[in-house]
Amino acid sequence: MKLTNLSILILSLFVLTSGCGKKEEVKPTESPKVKEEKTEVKKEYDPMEDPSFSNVMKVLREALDKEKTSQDSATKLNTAKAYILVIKFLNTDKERVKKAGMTEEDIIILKNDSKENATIRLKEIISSQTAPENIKKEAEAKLRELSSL
Amino acid sequence: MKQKNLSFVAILSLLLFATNLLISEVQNEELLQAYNTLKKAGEYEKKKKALEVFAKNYNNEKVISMLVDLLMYNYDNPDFKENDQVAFYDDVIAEEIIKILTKSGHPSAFPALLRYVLYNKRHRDATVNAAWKAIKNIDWNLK
Repeated sequence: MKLTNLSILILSLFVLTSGCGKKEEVKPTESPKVKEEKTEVKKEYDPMEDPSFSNVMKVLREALDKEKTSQDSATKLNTAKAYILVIKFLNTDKERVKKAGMTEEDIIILKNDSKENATIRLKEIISSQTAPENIKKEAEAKLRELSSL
Repeated sequence: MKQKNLSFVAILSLLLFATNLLISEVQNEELLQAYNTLKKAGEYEKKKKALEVFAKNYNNEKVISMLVDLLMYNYDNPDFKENDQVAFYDDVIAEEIIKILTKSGHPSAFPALLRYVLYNKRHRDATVNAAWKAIKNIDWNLK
């Protein structure tokens, strides 16, 4: 008799505890987030802003080659921009500069060479009687940029 | 017996060391003579012969630094004019120096080569084109 009572007790305890253990599904309170549309507009690639070694060499060679056959203000501006890109390359590609064994003095000389070459062209454009106004304005802006490099 | 062998090996290595030292000394002397010839203006034929010494040792670090030095300080002529015979033939030598540096592909030539393309009006087209080719040929993994 005692044994039956005990087993009933155990059974009821088991039923009760298993009921307590039931997990209720938790409903999400927040509605799923709608993925935000990317508003960032990819910048168009401008080779005149890319100071990587291969690009700088390509831009510089093309500009200097073009100058052999054309001396108009647009060509001069393009060459000046190429020289500015050389300065940016020397300022940024520290690894290649180190591998070439360039000293601080070497870097200063090469930067000054590029500055000199760019300045001559930009000043020629600015003082030109025939250069279009938009090219003159760009040349002035580049001259300002050059002094900050 | 063992001691005899050991002393024989020691003498042999000493002899080898001395021979190497002598060879490098002679080579250094030859290089220095060639370098001094190339530093002078004019004397085109002598310079061509001097270049042969450098061409044979194009991978030698000392040769590379000598050639770079020559390009930077002796062959970059701000007053270059194609109708000036001495300047013209010196620029032909500069082109030959660049060709040797192209073979070595060493990055340390880059500053001098860049200078040659930046100031392209100080050189013949052939020299500038050789400099572009040398820049393209630089092996940036070389130490």
